[in-house]
Amino acid sequence: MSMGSPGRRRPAARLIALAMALAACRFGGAYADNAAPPAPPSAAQPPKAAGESKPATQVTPSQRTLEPIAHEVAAGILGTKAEGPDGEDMGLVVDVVVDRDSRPTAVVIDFGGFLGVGSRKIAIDWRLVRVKPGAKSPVRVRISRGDLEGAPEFDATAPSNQMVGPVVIQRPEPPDAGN
Amino acid sequence: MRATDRPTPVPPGTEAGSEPELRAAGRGLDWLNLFVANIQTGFGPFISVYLTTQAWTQTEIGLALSVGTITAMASQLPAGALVDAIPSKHAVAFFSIVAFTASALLLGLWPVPLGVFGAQILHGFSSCTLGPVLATFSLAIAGPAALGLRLGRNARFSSIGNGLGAILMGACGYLIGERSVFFLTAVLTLPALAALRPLAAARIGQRPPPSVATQALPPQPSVWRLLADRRLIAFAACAALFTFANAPMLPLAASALTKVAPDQATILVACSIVLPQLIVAIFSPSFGALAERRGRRLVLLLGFAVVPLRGLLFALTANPVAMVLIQALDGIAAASFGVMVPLVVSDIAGRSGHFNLSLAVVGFFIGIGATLSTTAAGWLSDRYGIPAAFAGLALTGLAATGFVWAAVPETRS
Repeated sequence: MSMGSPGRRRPAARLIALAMALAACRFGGAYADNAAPPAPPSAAQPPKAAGESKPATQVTPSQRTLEPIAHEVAAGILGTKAEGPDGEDMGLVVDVVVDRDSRPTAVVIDFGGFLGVGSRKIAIDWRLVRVKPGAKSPVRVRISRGDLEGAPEFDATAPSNQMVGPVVIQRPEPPDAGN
Repeated sequence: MRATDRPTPVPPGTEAGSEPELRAAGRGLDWLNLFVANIQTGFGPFISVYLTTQAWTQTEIGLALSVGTITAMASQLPAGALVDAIPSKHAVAFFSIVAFTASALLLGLWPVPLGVFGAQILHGFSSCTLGPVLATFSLAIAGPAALGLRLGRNARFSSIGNGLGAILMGACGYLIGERSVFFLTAVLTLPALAALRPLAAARIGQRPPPSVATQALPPQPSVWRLLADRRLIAFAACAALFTFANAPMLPLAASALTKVAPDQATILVACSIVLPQLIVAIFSPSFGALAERRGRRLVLLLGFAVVPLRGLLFALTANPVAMVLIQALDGIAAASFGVMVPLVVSDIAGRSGHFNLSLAVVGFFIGIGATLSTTAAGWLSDRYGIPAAFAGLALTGLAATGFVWAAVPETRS
């Protein structure tokens, strides 16, 4: 994916940056390729930057560029097995929830059950997700099976959902918790 | 096995096949029940797991499953009528099983929409032809007088096949990969075809049913008169209510298990699938015998009453082990239902020449119950929580039991 070498990009390539960002957002990482100068990779620019840099002339299909997506650099994750910290089976990736800035919010896994009976769709905070493109199980979540106890079912059609966030380590006795 | 499990010879002159041939045919039918149940496990909810691994979206998977459901619903009645019309039931069974082979191979080799939809349609239709044919074989081998015993034995072998299938396919999917499950399913159709051979040798189901062959002219009731039989309609409605209350309980309980005990969910859900099958394997022959001795209503009421009991217990507990044990009670209901559906329909229509169509009518009602209940239970649990959904199912089960008590007469002659 282009995010690794923003400086090499030709100007025309910026025009498809939005499309590329759509693909890139599935894998996390930086969103630097929208900015005109090679900005610092962490400073994610809003996608509208791509629109601003649009040249006056209309683009014809012959001006498209094709860029390689190496499997080890970026790969699809739908239907792959998610693993926990110790490599335990955390179910299959069935969806990625994306926010209005095209950034992933959560990964949805189809978790548990046996032979398709009793599995639940559970959303897990994207901050707990690490992706290793090209691996057999590219998605690793930093949460274990036991942490999903009581997790609500994710329903794509519901007006709102909850996701499983990082595990909060409870302090034994917060200073002003007495009353 | 007990002496009562032996196929009872039918009245002389009514059926082909000598005593040893009939005995071999009975054993063939045992294996046929086992392997068909085995195969059907591969076409269950596991398909959605497999399609997920093939990067199908959840919407596409829902569509593929709907194609299967709609096909099964639409082909029930035509398939039943077709089986009645085809003289060689053996050929129907053969081609139905071959269709399963093709369907499993399509799923394994070609998981694109065209292949999967084709597989679902093939499987949906051939399930509708194979089910009634198995009941017809049973009637031909055991004769009407001992059909209950034979059906109890069928249910025993089916549940062994279901349980073994679940274990085998679960292990296969886990150790080798999801796709291998469908190749295993395809391979398992071969012993099913082999089990048909003794049935063919005894010429079971290759000629008209006993009544047609012998009794000079028991005036055959017209198909419409039969389908309007109050007993058939009442029983079909009860079967639909039963399925409506019963079918969502396993997925609902399994989902609850995954929620409360995510660590052990896989093994707990596996137990709640296999344990009831064990109970069916143990009890269904006794249920068949009980139905012959004491009548159908008793066994029906016993099986139906388990459903509200389970719903109530599920609504009251969230303890994982308790839930698995409550689910095991399903074996009682399933043993009763599995034996009673073909038995009661045979009582009503076994000699009419429309046995398969009548079975299909009940199958159609069961299909309606199953389809509506998944939606209803899902809606209830989303909106009011899992205990409320179980309570709702318990009430429906209670209504079904009451309806059996009030509206389904004793059909044993």
